[in-house]
Amino acid sequence: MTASQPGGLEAIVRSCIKLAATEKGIPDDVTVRLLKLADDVASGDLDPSSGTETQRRIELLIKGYGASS
Amino acid sequence: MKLQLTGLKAAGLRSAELDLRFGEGSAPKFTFIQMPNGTGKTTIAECLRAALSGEALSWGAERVRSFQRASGSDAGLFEARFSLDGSPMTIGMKFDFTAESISYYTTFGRGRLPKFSLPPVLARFADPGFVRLYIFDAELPQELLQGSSDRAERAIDAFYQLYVLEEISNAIEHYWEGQVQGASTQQGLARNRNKLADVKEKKRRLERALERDQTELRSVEEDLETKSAKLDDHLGQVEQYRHQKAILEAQLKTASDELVAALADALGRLRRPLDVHLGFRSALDSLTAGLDSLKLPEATSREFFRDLAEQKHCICGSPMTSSAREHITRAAEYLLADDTAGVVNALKNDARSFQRDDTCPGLTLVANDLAAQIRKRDVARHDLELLVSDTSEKADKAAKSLKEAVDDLTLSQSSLVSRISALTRDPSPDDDENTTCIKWLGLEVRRLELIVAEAARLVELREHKDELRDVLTSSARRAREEARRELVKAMNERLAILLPGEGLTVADIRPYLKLEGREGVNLGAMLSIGYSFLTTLFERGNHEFPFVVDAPTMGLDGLAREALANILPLTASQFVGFVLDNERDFTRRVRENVRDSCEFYTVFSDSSRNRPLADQLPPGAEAGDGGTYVIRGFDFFDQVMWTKNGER
Repeated sequence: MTASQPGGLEAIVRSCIKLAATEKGIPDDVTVRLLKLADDVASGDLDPSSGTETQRRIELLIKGYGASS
Repeated sequence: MKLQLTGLKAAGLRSAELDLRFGEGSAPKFTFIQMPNGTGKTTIAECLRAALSGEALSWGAERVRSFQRASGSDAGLFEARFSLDGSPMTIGMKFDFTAESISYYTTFGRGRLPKFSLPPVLARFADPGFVRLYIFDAELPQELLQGSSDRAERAIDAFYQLYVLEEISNAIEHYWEGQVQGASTQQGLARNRNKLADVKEKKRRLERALERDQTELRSVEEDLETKSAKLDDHLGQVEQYRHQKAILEAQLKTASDELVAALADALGRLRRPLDVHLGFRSALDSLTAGLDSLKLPEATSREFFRDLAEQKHCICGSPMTSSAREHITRAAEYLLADDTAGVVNALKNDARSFQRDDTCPGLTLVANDLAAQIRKRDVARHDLELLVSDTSEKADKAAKSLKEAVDDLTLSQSSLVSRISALTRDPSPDDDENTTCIKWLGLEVRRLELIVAEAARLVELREHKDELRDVLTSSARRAREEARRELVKAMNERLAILLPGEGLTVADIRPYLKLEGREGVNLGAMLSIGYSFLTTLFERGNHEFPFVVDAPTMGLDGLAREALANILPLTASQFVGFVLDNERDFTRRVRENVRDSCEFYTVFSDSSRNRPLADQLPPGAEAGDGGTYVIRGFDFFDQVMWTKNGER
């Protein structure tokens, strides 16, 4: 799993995402992408409401099950 | 995100005229503004909240009027200056007391916008309820302790950035909606899967039927060949039959050969449009006439030179001699280099060659001939069959029996060929799922397989999407619980410092602050609870807000004030306090803790009530706009007496 980044999510929130993802059986590589996405949104590096990069990251998230990270 | 308050300006309002710029370059960690009662501390705090939330846009006339100075000004202005992640930002509010309305302006990055328009990173925190957390409202602690408010829970969401999870969840859903517009649903997938199974089954059934028919046809044809040969052998014993049969077979062969030749001729002529329809011929005539009248460049026209060479006289009037004619023809070869002219001339030549071809009969004649040839072939075939039938009738029982068998087999063959033809024909536009055309069913299977594959892919992706959103929802719920436990623990540790020995503990903070075994608390305890909650929250998350408080220690005893003065430098990124002179023990203590990052202002208006302060002004101090004195510095702030004898 990725470490939290400066300005990213609170550690408590990250650990809750990891736990929920594990319980749901989400593959590790997908969880890593989800955490990175959340970190980038939390730090203000990514605007979740618009942008092609956001679209690309979400597409990768949904379609990326089983793909290598 | 880091938001700092860097200055305030107020004019024409029910407060002292202000124009403060905090610090030099960057805002200090602590700014204290000492203002006597009646100079508008509450007004400024209210304006600051409205500036950050945009709530003044919904204020009514009475609320707007409440900001009007008693002297009756027509207009007022409040301007709050900030640093947002290091960039300057200004939010202004213009009060029009005649129209009883307020308009905003915002300055950030690209210039000044005549409206309330916060940068996106700050806009999500523009909720008035949230703004009241850091532009502290004296009523807030009470609200936090009231069951009717979920402010505490909402504050957790904001500072722990749990809204991020909801925003990502919404973005995932939004992306998904864009992907599946018009696409198959789970129901559609099931329907198409059933349809595909039905079509596949029907195709398999028809292919098996075709295989059976083809096997049977081979058997029937073999049998037919054998029995026909036997019948022929049997009937061939009669001399007359053999003779007539040979003649009729020869006729049939001739008719068939002629038909083949006529057919080839007809097909050949079909490729010549002029033979198919007269319309083509007249159209070609028109084209040729058009080409003739086409104004070609004289110097490049082969036709021109050719026509000229055939004239009796040249265009110069002299007689056209054979040497002149030869010279013109030869010269034309050198001069005709224009491709367009060459193509046009070639076109004209070809068109003329068609027109000159008068040997070609019309297609009607060819078709009539073809029909006659077919009839001739059929008559020959019929005559031969008639010979066999007649001879068989007159022959013995065995021959009759063989003839019947041959007839039956011929009928079967015809029926089988017809059925096989129907099964193996090419698809037609009228085909649907009721068809027996195997090729069409094959295409339909491929089409449905593609639809099902796409629908299945989307169904799988939707499962992923739902799983991810479930993870985000459940992790937000879980994080809220964890944060609640963490905050309660940290708050109680802080409360023990602010109110030592009181045994005041918070039991829960969801959806509001609940005290352990206590129903109500005094003002000081309530304020301490509010501080413990907010300062604990300020330590969480990535966002830093200015903590602005009006009379920050009113109601707190000396011990609590000292504790607060020790805690605030550790938790608040910026603190701005509007204080009274009776809070100096607190401001002194803060100064002791953060001497290098403290700024002090004393603000009062030139009124009879404030005369004692004016009497103590340092040399050179003058009243500014509206008769307001703004004295910067700790010494005056800390020593000025608010009354003549030092008593309030």
